[in-house]
Amino acid sequence: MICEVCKKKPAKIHVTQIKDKQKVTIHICQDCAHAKGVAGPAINTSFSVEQLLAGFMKTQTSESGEIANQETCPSCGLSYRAFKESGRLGCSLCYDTFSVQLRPLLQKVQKEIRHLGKVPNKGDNRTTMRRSVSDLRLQLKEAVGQENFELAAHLRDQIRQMENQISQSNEV
Amino acid sequence: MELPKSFLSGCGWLKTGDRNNDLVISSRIRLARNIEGFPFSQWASSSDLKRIAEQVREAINHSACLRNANLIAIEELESVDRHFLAERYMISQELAKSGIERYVAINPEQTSALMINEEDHIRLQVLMAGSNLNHVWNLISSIDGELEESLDFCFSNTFGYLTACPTNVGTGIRCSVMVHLPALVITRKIEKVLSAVTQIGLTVRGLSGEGSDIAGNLFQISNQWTLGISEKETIEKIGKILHQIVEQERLAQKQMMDDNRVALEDKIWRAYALLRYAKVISSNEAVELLSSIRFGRNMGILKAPSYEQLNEMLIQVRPAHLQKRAGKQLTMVERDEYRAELIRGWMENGQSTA
Repeated sequence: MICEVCKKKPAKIHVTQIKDKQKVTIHICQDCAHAKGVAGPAINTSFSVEQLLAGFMKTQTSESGEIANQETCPSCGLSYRAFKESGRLGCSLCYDTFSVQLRPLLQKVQKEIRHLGKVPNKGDNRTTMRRSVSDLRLQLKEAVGQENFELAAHLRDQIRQMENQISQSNEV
Repeated sequence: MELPKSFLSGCGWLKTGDRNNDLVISSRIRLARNIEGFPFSQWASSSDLKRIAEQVREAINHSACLRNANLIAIEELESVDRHFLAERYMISQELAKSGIERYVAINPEQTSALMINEEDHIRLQVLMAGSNLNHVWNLISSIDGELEESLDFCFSNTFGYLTACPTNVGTGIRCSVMVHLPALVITRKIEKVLSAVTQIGLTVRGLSGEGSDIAGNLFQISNQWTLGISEKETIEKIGKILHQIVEQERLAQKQMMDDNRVALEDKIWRAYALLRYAKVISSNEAVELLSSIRFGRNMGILKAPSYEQLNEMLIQVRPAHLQKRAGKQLTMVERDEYRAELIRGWMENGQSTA
């Protein structure tokens, strides 16, 4: 196949774009691809995290986008918009607060959403409990998202109970 | 604040382990950790940053591996000293640019460095010469365990260790190996090799990390995924790929030797002559010429300098290193002359780079 741009060199890059529900495929050679900015310099395959995040987040625009933008983390006050602009989360609780928005991003940049590595092995009860609370909050958020209110109520009670225990152990 | 005197001679980590590896220059692992109860560094107030630093310093004092480390306040360093540390990979470019309540603790061997209040509260790294990832992992994992005794790290069962950037969440690990691949570059096989690497969750970068250009045929291969994959699997994956790439490079070298020995020898002796006699050498030119010399060693065309000396030269010819050695600020023109003078000396007499 010959490059559709220069009509000289063999087409090695095939770009498919979906525009107005129409699939358009262009076949071009490496040189024309570079000239058109379709592909980066072939050797430099690296990319910056910011570019990746920014590129990805641009595609996340929907009607609910504006609402999602304004959502803020109750712990550190970071808005989702500020995260989108900086690519950096504000605190550990942001992972709970923005879990709905983060999941598709993580699915894209990570292998899968499941921690398979090292786990802190410290026997501190308070730490373990705080971790569980944070995981329960995630589950709660998902339950609410799925409108499973029975489960949500149950989770909410569990969280309350554990938070009480944590604050009591703080006082000791 | 002055840098410890011991730092001003050779680059510590280059003297460790597998220091005469012909193709693999270094193995590095870093872990990102944050402490519960504080916002991530970028959003933290100066009083939070101060408290974070206090907690981490306390944890360092309780760590057998880091107890003897030199704690350096970035704010108190002259610009040239910051660059000096960054040039030998002890701190990141980011940390070099920062200031208040930013610290680095570096062990006397200069193999372990813990940055405080970088993008994450803790960025711990272990760096050694040659192909050494398993050893590096054992060391860094035990330091991590020691720190965990006194610190409460942000962690969730689903997302693992929580980090400021979602690209580090999970294991918080970045493993990288720096490898020299001249024959694959010259024979233009490198693009194919590297595009294969990027398809399996790994990335390739140039000499100075993120966003840097490829120079001197040096490539940094590192993992991209930190979630959905364990530390051990990450290290194994890089080890396996590294092994394959090294094999490919050796094949390409052999083929070049068989195909056109004279052209190759000419290229290497020309590089040698420039390093031995030139009066002005820029930073980039030095990197490229040293790459040719290393290639000459690979092919058995040159018998010296040793790989360890070549690695050391690569660091010592950098701008801040030159200025520390000269004991004064040098303009770019002065640096290029001084660099050439130093290299001439090394090439002439046994190459003692210290």
